[in-house]
Amino acid sequence: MDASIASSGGSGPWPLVLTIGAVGGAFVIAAFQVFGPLLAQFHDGHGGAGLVQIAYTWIEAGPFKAQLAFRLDTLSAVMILIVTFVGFLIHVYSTGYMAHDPRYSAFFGYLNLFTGSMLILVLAANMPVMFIGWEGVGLCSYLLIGFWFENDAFASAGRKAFVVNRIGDFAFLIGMFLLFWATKNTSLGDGGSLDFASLKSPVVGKAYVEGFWGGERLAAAAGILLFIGACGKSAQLPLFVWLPDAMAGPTPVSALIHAATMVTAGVYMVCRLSFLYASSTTALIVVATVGLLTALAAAFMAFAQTDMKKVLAYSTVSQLGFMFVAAGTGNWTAAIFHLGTHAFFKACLFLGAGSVMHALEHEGSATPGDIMTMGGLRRRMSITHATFAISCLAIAGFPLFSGFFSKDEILAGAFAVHPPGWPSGYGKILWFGLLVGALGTAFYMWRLYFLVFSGEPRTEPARHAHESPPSMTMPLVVLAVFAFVGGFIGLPHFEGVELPSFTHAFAHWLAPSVTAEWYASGVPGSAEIAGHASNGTIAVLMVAASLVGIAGIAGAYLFYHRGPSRTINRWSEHGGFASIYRASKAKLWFDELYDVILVRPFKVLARGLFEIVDRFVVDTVAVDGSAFVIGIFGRISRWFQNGNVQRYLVGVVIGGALVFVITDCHRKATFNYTIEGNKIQLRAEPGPGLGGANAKVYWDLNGDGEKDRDPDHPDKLLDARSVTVTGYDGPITMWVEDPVTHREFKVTKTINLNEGRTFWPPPEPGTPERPGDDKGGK
Amino acid sequence: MSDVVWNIGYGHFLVLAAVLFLIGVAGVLLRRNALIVLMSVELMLNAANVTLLAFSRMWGDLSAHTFALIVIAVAAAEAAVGLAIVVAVFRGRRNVDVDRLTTLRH
Amino acid sequence: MRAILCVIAVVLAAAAAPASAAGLVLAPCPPAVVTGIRATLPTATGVKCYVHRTEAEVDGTPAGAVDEINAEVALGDGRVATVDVSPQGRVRSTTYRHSDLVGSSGKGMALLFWAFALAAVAGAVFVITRRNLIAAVMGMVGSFVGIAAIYMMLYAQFLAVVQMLVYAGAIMVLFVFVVMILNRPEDEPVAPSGRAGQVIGGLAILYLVVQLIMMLTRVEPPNLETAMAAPPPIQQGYDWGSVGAVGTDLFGPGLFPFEAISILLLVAVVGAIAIARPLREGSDNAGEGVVDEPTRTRQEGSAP
Repeated sequence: MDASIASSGGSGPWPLVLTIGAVGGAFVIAAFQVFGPLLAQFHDGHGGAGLVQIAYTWIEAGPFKAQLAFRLDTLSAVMILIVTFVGFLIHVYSTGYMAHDPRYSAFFGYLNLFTGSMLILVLAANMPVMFIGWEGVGLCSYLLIGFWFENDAFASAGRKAFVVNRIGDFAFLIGMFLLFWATKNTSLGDGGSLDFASLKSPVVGKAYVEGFWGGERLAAAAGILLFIGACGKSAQLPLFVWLPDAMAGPTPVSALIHAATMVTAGVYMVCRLSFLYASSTTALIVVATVGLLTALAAAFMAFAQTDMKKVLAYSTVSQLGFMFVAAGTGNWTAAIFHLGTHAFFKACLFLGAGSVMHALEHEGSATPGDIMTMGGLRRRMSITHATFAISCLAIAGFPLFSGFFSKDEILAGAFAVHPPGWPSGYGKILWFGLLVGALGTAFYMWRLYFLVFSGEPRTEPARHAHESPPSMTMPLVVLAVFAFVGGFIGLPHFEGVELPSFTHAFAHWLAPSVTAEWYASGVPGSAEIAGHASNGTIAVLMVAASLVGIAGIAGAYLFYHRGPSRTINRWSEHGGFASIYRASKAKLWFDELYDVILVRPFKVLARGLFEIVDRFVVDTVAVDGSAFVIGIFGRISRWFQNGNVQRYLVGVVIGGALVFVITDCHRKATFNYTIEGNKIQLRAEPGPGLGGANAKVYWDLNGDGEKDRDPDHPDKLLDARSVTVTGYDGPITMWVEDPVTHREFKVTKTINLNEGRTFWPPPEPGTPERPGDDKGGK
Repeated sequence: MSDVVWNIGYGHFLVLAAVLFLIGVAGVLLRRNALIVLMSVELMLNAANVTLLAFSRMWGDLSAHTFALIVIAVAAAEAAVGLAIVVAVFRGRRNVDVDRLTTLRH
Repeated sequence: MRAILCVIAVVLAAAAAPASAAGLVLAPCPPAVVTGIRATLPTATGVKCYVHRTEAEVDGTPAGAVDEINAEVALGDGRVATVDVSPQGRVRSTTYRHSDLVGSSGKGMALLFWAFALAAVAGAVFVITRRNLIAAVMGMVGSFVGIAAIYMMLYAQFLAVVQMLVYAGAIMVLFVFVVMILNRPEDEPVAPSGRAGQVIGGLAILYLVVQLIMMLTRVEPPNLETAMAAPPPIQQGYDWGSVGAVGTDLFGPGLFPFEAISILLLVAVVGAIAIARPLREGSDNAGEGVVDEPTRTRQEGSAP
């Protein structure tokens, strides 16, 4: 958690030591915590509870309470290890890559802030804190994508990332509020908790399965809204457009965004809220479908890209689609597993791409990312080449490489998924779609590989390229090793086949933190969402996946192993294939579509608002108007503010008088009395001012609770300010009727006739006349 | 009427205090001599003391006596500092007319 | 001046009066007394006895001590009766507390009140109307003396003395000294009239007078019956308002404000010296060698 921002603009080794030390230290602490206390807790069977650290109460409003709290459970443990480890390697790599940048320190500061935000995001114990991290990575992505803001295109790429993310964040917020609203009446007693532990409890679970809209469960609405947020962050279909443009940032940033931080946030969030998604088939279907469409569309768009980083960017989008399909089929373990393996091989690929571009740039290439200008780098950059090849094998799903196992897990899960309400056969469709996506992945990744590394150099800079410095190649090697072996912690599970325990470690490890069972009625039922296929099916699926991967590699070899083949060039320019090629190259015209349906109308609207709201309302009315009003008041108050203390005191006195005027209005009506012998003299005090002077005053002088009649005019009520009663000893009530509002105040006093006597014993009470007889207006 | 004259109650003391206080206010507001203004302030403090003691009797709470004693001490301090200021002002300006002491405006 | 002296004389006379009123000793009630009172006043809820012992003489020879017991009896209906009772329990007379000043029904106290109130108000009016500063200070002294007497009537003997010493004595002497230092009669005592502010201020004062008086006349004591009676001694046995009583409170719960006041006075003394001493060391610059401030101020004052 120790993300510190190095002071930007400084020079020398200190920023480096500080920032890299921070991330490295974070990794050490993370590892220590995970393999120390958390592992012990896991073995005790409390891995889901996790280690909780409450810093302080951040928001407290009524019964609602949001604490700045962090929770390390098995799910966040995976994430922090990936984030800190990959982040550390990327930091180290950046020392070489950014060595010649003038804003070196600022870069590391941002990078550190980015890592820190991501750690907050994954360690958050409740949704508001998660949102801090969520926004933090959004901010840092803006800062880092637009790091070279001198270039307009780069700066606008940063803005685009930010704006598109904001759209998703808006939905995320609404989803969060919806959860708050849904849970505020549950008997948990914390007034709408957004704490993950509370949200997960069965008490709150009842709220998820309540009907919300159109027969759907509430979980569907909340889940889809939150998923839209995840779409923005994780670049899923409607909101993916920022990610390819994000390549404007320095390559380590791309690696960080794509591998360890940011884009994985959406997947993480969905898995973190697995209990919510496990309550609604609709939400699951939406997640899976969007994931599948994204995986296919992004794979398609990657075919025709010629920029090295763009290809990788689309591959990231596509792989994230895979992860969301896994999440949408309730296969949380597979989603996180693929997230982990992907972090390693994608970081390795990006850093490898950075290494290549670094080399070409040094040799004076104007377009260092254009793969058409490369070729034949295998011999000139052997380490980069080797690590790149391993990562490509991993991402293509070549058997025994990490990507093979994680992708296979996703495919198998999709094949066998069957939660209640799931359309029959839809799992198979997902599986088939993913298989096509995997084929595409293998093809375009190896197309990239062959165009960059094999064949002959196609330009002069490529001919003179040289290997990068060790600070850049060492992280590559480490990442490549993990890209190769990372899959062995999650081998597929065959019935009756005993494998070493570490091969299932990952699934066991995650199990306490995610909810794999379907929520029938607010509590996890017995049925698992992601079904389990039989041994034979798993084997067949594995073979199919391997064959698809190998087929993709073979296809790429066929067309590209000696650079772009003539066949491809011809196809891409003429005939039916050419339009498909153009569609891929133009990213299916998503940017243009958004421009027409969103950006242009918005610009028109903005212009109108500028004229009306800004020019007229704000400038003329608000600014000039308020200045005018203040000017008038200033002119008035100048009369008071003349330095004469006595005049100030006049104000004080007037204020004191006003206090009386104001408090007078609330003085209550009452009546006074004096006793003479056995006569009681009553005098009404109906209150001050005109209201009191014109008030009607009624009396009850015989204790019957009714207003008495006037003895002189028996048809009217007695209305007098002062009244005399003789020989009556009991409760006397006065009503005062306000002349304006006609509201009545009622005052009752019981008067003791003996009061105030100065002699003893008291005289015999005179034989009382008939009560109420002897009274009269006066 | 005779009741009001011969039957002295708390109201009498309190009204007396109010009258003294408002004479003090009038003095502060209307007079221009800083010394008179200071004396009027003392008068207001005394009126407050009368109120305090009347209420002290009314409620049977002796702590108002302590409070009144403190008011007297504060009044003494105020008189000392106030007179020192008057003297200092007079030294500089040759008069103590509060109408001309308008530097607060700046 | 003569009027002031008269006022002082009356105050001293008045100061002696309440002291003589308290001559009874609180003592435990003999059982016979309680029985007798209960027989006469069946609603009695509590009895407090004040015993007055006198050495009786019969034909010039001592005939032993005679106790007179005045009992305060709380009655069930909330009233309090003062009962004159013999030690054997024979009730001689019963008086109900009269809501009169100082527990006595005489008109003399009312006259005294009006006299001192008049002195206080007249002195105050004198202060704010005199052009002659010394006359104003003397009016102030008269007013303070009247207020001290009013304190006395409120059973605040100690404060009355302090009022005389501190105000009429020390503070007014200080004023006289300053008046003599300034030694200039005012040219125009009352601020120029005709200003809207003054009119509004005057109206506000009038309104305040009326309202304050109306409000204060309506104040009701919490215990109407016993309110105007002589206050009982405090728990430690000191008379209400005496030095002992005030001191008990001042050095008990009031200790912190008391100490704080001492610091305040110290600071005030230092501040007064710092402010009033000549600006330059060794030269009393009153008058000479300073900027002609009045001229400058007047110019500033005439600026818009």
